[in-house]
Amino acid sequence: MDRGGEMLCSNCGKNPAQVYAKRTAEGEKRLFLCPACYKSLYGEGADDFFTTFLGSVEGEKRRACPTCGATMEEFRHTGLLGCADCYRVFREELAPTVRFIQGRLYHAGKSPSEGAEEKYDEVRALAYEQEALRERLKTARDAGDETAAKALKFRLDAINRELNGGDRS
Amino acid sequence: MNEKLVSYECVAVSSRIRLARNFADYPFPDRLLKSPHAKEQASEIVRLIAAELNTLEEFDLYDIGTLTDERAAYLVERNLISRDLVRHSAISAALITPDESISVMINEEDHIRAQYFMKGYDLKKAYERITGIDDVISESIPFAFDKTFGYLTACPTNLGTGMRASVMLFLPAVSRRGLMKGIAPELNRLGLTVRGTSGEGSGAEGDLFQISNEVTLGLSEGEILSAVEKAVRIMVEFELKERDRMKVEEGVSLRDRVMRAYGVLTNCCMIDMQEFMKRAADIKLGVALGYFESENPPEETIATLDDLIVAMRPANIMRLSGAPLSEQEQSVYRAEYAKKAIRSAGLFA
Repeated sequence: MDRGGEMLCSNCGKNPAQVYAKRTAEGEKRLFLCPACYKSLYGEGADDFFTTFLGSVEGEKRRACPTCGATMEEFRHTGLLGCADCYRVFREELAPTVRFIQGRLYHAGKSPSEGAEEKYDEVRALAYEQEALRERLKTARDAGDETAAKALKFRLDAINRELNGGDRS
Repeated sequence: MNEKLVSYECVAVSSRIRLARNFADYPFPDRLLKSPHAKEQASEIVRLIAAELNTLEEFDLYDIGTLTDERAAYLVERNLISRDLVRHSAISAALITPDESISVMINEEDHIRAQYFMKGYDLKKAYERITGIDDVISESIPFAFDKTFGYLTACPTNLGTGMRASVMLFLPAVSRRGLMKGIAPELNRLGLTVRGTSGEGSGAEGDLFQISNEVTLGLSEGEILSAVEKAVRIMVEFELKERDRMKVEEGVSLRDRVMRAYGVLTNCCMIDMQEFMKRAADIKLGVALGYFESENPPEETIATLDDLIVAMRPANIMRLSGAPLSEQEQSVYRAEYAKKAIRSAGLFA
């Protein structure tokens, strides 16, 4: 139920709702309940690890991510951010939610390789070429043209070596 | 293989690691769907991932939008793709190795959901395989990453490592003796969850449960693996103890149930999926308890039966039979196929 931007509890229909994500066998479901109804239906929120608090619906500013246009309000509804930049734009608003879900607010795992940006454009071009060659190779093989297939395979292998940085082939 | 591990694999039947990754310069899939250039952007994402993966090994590319419903259902039943991937069929694809050990879903909830699946229990091996693939892709594709939040994912429940490590546990004794209830809160304290693995609803089909990490941020991959391994150790020992107790307490009635299941599956003329699952679970329990004579070690027989259970699901049956079958025809086919499979598994009562 939506009255003037204020989401009401889907159980009692009276109090402002908060959003919870509940994991079920079929995937994640969003629940719009007030804290009292949530408590009566599922017990203490923090004790129920199937359910995640996504935050309050009240008082959200309609600020949009300049990159993808997503808003925090949309996040409260879907539980999903729009793009990588949303995490930068909404960092302050997201921090308590992330802390609630994860219990921690720092990354301790692996990091991506450095220097991917420099190779990105080159890989983009090679990917196009690889895709075209794979299609032509398939056509040649289907037509039984072994000579053409051999030549195409040779070029494809060269591209794969380049994609691999030339040192792992 | 040492004896301890053998008995472990009569409980911990398979291991799976999944990594979630996103491109830094494309909207996440749900947002991408709303873009007027969704198709072109999605093709570009698929092309880039395929280009990198094709240099590693052979992958089959599935364009989900062009799959028939039957083919998609077949892949879902085999856990190679998810229902969410099918829902995103306008932009989604999957790259799967012919042995089905690696599946990379593209444009599901995140741009990349890469999983490694293996029979038996070896999370470290599973992690090494999937992190190797991640390393190769990340050398030339800039991933969405933040020093505080780690790998950025569409849903904050996957932030940080983006990793879900899970082990499938066969828990007939613990679950049938009503002991699952007390376990969930204990696992929660370790940042883990346990779920029944039924296709629909929340019941546990065939006494199978999946244990996995809930927390993905603020822990290293190694710490997450250790936490899951610790829980698996506790659960396996608990289950083995309960199986011993069950054997003693239920005695001949338990053996009778197992042998009836064997009798039904080696003689019946038609059987629906629900009954088949139940009977197959009874036989698996019997194998684990040493009720059968077999040339093969028990964990191998259990793995064979697990394969059979997947193969007997509706979309898998239709693919095996090569024809669309009514529900009743499926039941007949299932009975016929299972009978032969169980006999050729070398099981003797």
